Amino acid sequence: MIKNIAVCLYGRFGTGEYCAPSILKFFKNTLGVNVDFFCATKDYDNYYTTHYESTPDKIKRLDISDLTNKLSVYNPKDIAITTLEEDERRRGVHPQSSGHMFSQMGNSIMLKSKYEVNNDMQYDVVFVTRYDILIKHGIETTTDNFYLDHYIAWHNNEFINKQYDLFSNISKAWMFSHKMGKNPGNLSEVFRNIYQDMLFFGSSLAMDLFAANALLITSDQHHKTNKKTHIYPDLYRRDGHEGLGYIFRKSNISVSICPSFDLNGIMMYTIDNRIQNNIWYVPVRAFGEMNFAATSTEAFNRNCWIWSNSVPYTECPAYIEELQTLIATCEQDIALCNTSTAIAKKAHIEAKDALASALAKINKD
Amino acid sequence: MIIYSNITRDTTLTGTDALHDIFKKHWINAVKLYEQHGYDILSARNVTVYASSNTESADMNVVSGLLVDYDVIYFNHMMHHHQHEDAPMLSANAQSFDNFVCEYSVFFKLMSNWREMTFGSGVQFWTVGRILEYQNIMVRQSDFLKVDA
Repeated sequence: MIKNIAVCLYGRFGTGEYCAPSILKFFKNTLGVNVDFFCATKDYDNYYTTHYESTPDKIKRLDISDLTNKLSVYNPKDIAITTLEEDERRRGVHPQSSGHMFSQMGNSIMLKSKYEVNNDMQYDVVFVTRYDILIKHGIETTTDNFYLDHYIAWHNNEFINKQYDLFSNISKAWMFSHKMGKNPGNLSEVFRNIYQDMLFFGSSLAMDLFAANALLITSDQHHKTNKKTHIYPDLYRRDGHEGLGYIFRKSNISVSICPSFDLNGIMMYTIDNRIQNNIWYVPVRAFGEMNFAATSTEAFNRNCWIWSNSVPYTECPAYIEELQTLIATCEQDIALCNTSTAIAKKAHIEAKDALASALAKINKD
Repeated sequence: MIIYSNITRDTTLTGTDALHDIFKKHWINAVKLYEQHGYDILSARNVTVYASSNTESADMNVVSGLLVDYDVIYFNHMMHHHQHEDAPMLSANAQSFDNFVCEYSVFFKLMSNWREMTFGSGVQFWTVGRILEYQNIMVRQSDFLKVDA
C-alpha cells in the first residue's frame, strides 16, 4: 500500500516558477498519501539544448537566495544546488554532454535516499521530473480528477497482483517511463530503447540503481579526472533519452509504459515529422507561451506547438489571426451575457484580457 | 581516494537474511558517505570504497593499487575464506561480503539491492553470484587482507 511518495526534481530551473502550479497540481491527491519533494538544481541557466536560443550568451547565473526562495513553493525536504564551477570542472569533453542531466537526476535521487536513511523509512513510489514542464493531468478540469488518485488506487488494488503481467518478473526494481517510438516501422528505431526524461517513476530500489549508474555516467563522460575505461564512449554524443535506456538495461530495471488510465496524452509530431508516443507533459522553453495560467489547457496546447516546432508560438503565421478571432468570440460572448450570467461573463472577460495581453505582447515585440 | 564503510555483522543470521543485514548496513553507510563527501566528489570516479564487516585488516597499499574500474568488485582471494567449499559464489554465504573493494557507484548500486532480499523468508534465492550477475558486476580477486589477520 502506498503511504509515501517522493518527487525528485532535477535540472536547470528555467521556467520553473511559471510551471510550478501545474507540477504541484499533478502531485495532489485526495487519499491522504504523503508527497515529499526533493530539489536538485544549478545556480545557472543554460541554453545549450534549445536550438532557438543558441546565442553566444548561453549561460546565465542565478541568485541563490532568489532561487531557493522560488524552490520553497514545493516545500522541499532537501535542496542541492550545483554551482557553475562544479559543473565546469566536470565539463571536460563535451558541453552538451547528457552527463549534466544525469548528474542532476542522480543528485536529486540521492537526496531522497539521504532522507530515507535519516528518517528510517522507505518511499513506496519515487517520481523524477523537471521544473520546466507542464503536465497534462495538472491542468484544470471540471472536477478534481487527480492522476495520483487513479495511480494510487490502481497500484494498491491491481499493480501488486499484476506485476508479473506487466514486467514478466516480480523484481522490486520496477519503473514506469514513456518509451519514445520514433519513426514507427523503422526497425532500427524499434530496437532502440529510448525513453523520455521529463517524467518517470518507480520503486525506491529502481531509483537507487538509476542514481548509481547516473553517478557513473556523470563522470565517465566528461570528468577531467576520469582516467579509467569509458563505459560508453559514444554516449556523450547521444542524447539523454538513449542514456535512460542504457541505464535501465544495464541495471536490470524492469520498465513498463506509464499507466495513463482514462487520461490520454497527446500524440506529438516533432518538426521533422517524427512521432513521440502518448505523452502527457511538455517543456516550457524560455521563449515559451507564458501568457496563460500554467494550469490552463491553452498553455499546454500552445507549448506543445512550440515544442514540436522549436520556434516561438508568436512566429506561427496563424497565431495572430487566431488570437484576433478568439478575442472577437469573447466579445460576442460578453455581449450575450446578462446579469443572470455574471459568473460566465466574468470568465469571458478574463479570457479576453489574457488573449489581448498575448496579442499586445506580440505587437510590442 | 579511499573511503571506508565498516559495519558490524549480525552473526546469528545466515543465508539470505545475513546478506540482507550486510547489504542494508552498507547501503546506509553509502548514503552517509554521500552526505559526507557530496555528489561532486563521489562522481569523480577516483573514489574507491573499502567495505569491511569484521576485524580483519587490509593492506591499504594493495587496495590502493587495485584497478577498481567500473562494474568491478574485488574480493579477497576466495581460497582464504572458502577453502572448504566447491562453489562459494553459487551459495548465499554472506562471508563473501566480509571484505570487498569497489568503486563508489558499484558500492551504492550493489548495496541498494537489500530491498530485493526478503528478510526472514528463508528462501536461498539470492546467492552471491546471482546478485553480481544481476547487476552485471565482474568479480576479481586479490590478496588485500593481511595474511596474519
